[in-house]
Amino acid sequence: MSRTTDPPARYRVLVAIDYPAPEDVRHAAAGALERVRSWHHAEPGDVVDDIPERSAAWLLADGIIELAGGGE
Amino acid sequence: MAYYSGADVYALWLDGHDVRGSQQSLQASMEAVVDRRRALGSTSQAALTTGQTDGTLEMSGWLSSDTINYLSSLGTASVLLVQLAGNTGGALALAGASVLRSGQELSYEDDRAANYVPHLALDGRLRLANLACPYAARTTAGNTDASYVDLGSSSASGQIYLELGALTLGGYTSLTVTLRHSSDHVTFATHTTLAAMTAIGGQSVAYTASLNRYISVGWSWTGSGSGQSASFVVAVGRD
Repeated sequence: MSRTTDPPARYRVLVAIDYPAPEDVRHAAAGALERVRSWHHAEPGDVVDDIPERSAAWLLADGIIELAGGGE
Repeated sequence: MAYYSGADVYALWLDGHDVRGSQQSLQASMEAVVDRRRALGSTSQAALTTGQTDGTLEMSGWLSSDTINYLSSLGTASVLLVQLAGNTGGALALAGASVLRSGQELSYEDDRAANYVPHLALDGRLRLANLACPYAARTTAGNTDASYVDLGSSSASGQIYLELGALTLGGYTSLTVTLRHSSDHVTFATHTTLAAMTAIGGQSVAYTASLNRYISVGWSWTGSGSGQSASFVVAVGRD
């Protein structure tokens, strides 16, 4: 089921982060991540488009990532 | 409801040295300095917080090789971390960023081991803290994101404590430990990078950047080598 055709948001990483693969987040329970098969790591300067949707808001608010815009 | 006793003390760290095995008592007190005033025309006192804290720390034990080898060096400031309630993430600890070994007493009796009482003077604040990760051996670079600790709320400032009890560099030049945090326990970001360690010891760093409620610990090695291993514990004391 696809609900949008918009490209995923791209973020520039300002502080090193680790996050689960998107499919792991989708399959996790509402609370803790019970089984994460693979973690992604990003260093400052990296541009990524697979940050979990639920994490992006607080990462932006805390200045850990910023919107990278298109064409990166 | 949990209750704790001396039997729950997992370790008594001073600069990466666990001296628990030769200590039999520990007494700590912490207080916020309060100024009591009664305003003119008032019938009751008001308690005014000054923002200052006081604390004392006393411990006593018996003379052994670890106390001789470590505690007897006077005039040295140590990072203190007492694992009061076991060795699990979030467990209660007592921590001091700078505890000066200021003196010592020895007493001998003919029918018992010699008593040894180190005198400890606090330089700064003594506080209760929570383990960000348990004391354990770690080898390849990694983190404890999958076993994060929930502090219950974020904090604007506080102190981070590291006790490195064993280190085999295996050719690497240093070990770097980081405190990590998250608002959603899904994505974790580096909060504070502690100074690189090359030998066992303690380290304490104050933080003033907001720390989110979920925390974990990361570690990495600089250089190249093999057979590396580090045993350490990290705690966070929030203001």
